[in-house]
Amino acid sequence: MEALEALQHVLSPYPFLWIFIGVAGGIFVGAIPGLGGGMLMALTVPLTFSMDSTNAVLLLMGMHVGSVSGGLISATLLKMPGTPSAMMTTFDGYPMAQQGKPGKALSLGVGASLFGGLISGIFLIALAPPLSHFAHKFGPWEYFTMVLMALVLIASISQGSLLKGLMSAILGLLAAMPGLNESDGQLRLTFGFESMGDGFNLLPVLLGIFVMSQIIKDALEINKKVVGIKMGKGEGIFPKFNEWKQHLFNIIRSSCIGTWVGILPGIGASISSMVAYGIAKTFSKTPRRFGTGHDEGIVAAESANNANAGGALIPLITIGIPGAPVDAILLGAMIMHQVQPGPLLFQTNGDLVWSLMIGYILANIIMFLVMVFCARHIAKIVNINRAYLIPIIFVFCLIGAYASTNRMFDVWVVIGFGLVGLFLDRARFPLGPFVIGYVLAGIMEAELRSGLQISEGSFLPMITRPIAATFTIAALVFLAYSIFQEWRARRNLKPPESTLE
Amino acid sequence: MPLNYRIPYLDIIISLSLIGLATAVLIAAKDIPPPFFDPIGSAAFPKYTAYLIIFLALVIGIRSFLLSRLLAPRSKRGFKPEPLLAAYTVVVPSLYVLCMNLEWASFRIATTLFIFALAGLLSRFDKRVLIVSAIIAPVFGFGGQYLLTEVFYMDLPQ
Repeated sequence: MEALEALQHVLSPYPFLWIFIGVAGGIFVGAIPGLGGGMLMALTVPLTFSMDSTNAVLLLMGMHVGSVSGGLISATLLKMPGTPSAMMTTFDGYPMAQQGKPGKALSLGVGASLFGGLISGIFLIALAPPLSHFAHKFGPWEYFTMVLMALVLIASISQGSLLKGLMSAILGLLAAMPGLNESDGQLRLTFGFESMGDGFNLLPVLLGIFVMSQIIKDALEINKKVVGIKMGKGEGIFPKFNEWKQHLFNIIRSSCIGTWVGILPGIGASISSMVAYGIAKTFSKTPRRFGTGHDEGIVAAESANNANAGGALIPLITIGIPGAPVDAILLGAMIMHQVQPGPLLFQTNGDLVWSLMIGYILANIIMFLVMVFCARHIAKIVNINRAYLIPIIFVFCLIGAYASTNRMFDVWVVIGFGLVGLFLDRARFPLGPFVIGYVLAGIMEAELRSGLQISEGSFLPMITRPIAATFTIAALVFLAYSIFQEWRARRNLKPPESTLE
Repeated sequence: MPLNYRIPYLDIIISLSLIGLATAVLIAAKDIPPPFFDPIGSAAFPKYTAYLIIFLALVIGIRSFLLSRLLAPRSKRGFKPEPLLAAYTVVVPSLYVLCMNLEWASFRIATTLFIFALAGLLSRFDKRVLIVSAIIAPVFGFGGQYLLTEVFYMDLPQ
């Protein structure tokens, strides 16, 4: 019944229009290498302050869906993934386009993206309500250990070394600590600055890490030129029924992988497409054709990265843990609109959460139509001169940071965190764990302190309570496995002794 | 494969900076009053986070130094990086923010000048970019102020 009401709501003019604007904007920005869904969403959040909270969430979710799919265009035609999640698509999309079949490469990607999105949408609707109900059993220790597990998981799976991933997550935690502590009203780590009393707000930190660091990087790499492949006149993008039928098993398998990886807290779409691509190659009858413009590679990567977006909404809605760094922005936007994701969301904002889930499916259908009819035109304009874009993007950063609190201090925070993000990125510290750590720091500390109050200072409930013990063991296993993998990788990297002398 | 003795200086610099930051956090955490209703209080989290940062920074720094011989050779980028232009994207926005922070210029004027100046610098004063940005800059400066304050009801620096 609630689903039908939500369907009616998202099909009414305003919500539909916001989803459409979000998806179209997301596709456009996602197609431009160097920009991304995270940047667009972070810049849009302040514009939603005067909007109805459901419409605001639908707009941002549409942007997320659009940007994941938009990355396909530049990955296929420019060999530059518009978004990191489209990285695996370049391996087969670009070679196929080079072989004179850019339309086929895009049509396979667009079709796979649609199915990936729809399948994960079905999982979202089927799993979110029971998981939310299950999460009612969570107490402070369960939340604390779950956040701990999420941080270990994202740090260990992020690209780069485990140590740098962990460090990034811990720096994220530290960035959230200055200011007034909500648990006991104590001011801390202000270093004598009055402006630090409110700490670093969410939006300026996100704008700094996601946007400012990227525009500095774009300026550094402004000479990077790309030669695009042009699509022939009359070359269609509409996927053919036979192709869909032929790849149905691959689509379903990759979508399930994408959804599952999305559900795991803190992991982004790039990992989904890597895993799905690897599995598709392992089980393929023609594994050697992967990387040379093979249909199966495009289908696996695209269905998995779109399915990831839906999967990542599940932990966000049910337990308030972002499934991916981009979801941290959605979480932040919901909190700014006085909507607290978590087990009680279905009771407190049932209409919003159902609209979000139904809207997600609608966003994928809109994405498909926009891509089929407009991808050719979007491809022509993705190579915009950065000299125009960079100043305009910074103006939006300033507006976004200032509008949330009317303090210029927050604009300085954007610049400061932009530099932090740039240096971390240059030294190959992944930025995803930083954002997740920042967003989860408050919950982690508050739940630990509540738990310790209940247990009178004992940490034993971490292993004596069944759900908390499961999360603790999972965190330890992930950590041990990552250390082992890194040790093995380093051992294989060592050159023979004779060359060291 | 030829030997490569590249030392990852950035890793080492970042490790040292993080140890400095963590030390500052530990000093600041001393000023936080002791707990009065829960077992750990407000100082515990920053303190243990700082200890973890010091530990990880030491491991990263030492390991980077020891494994420097094993680093793969630098891959060729295929384009020339522009550190000066990257510096402009920090300095010019900082001046733009400073102008409004010290109330030297309103949002309209500062934004118009900022977009025109940064676009010019990034394009190395390419004529076409200068002409286009001369049109875009006032649109964003004056039009942006109108749109954001009158339509989106947002406050902007005056």
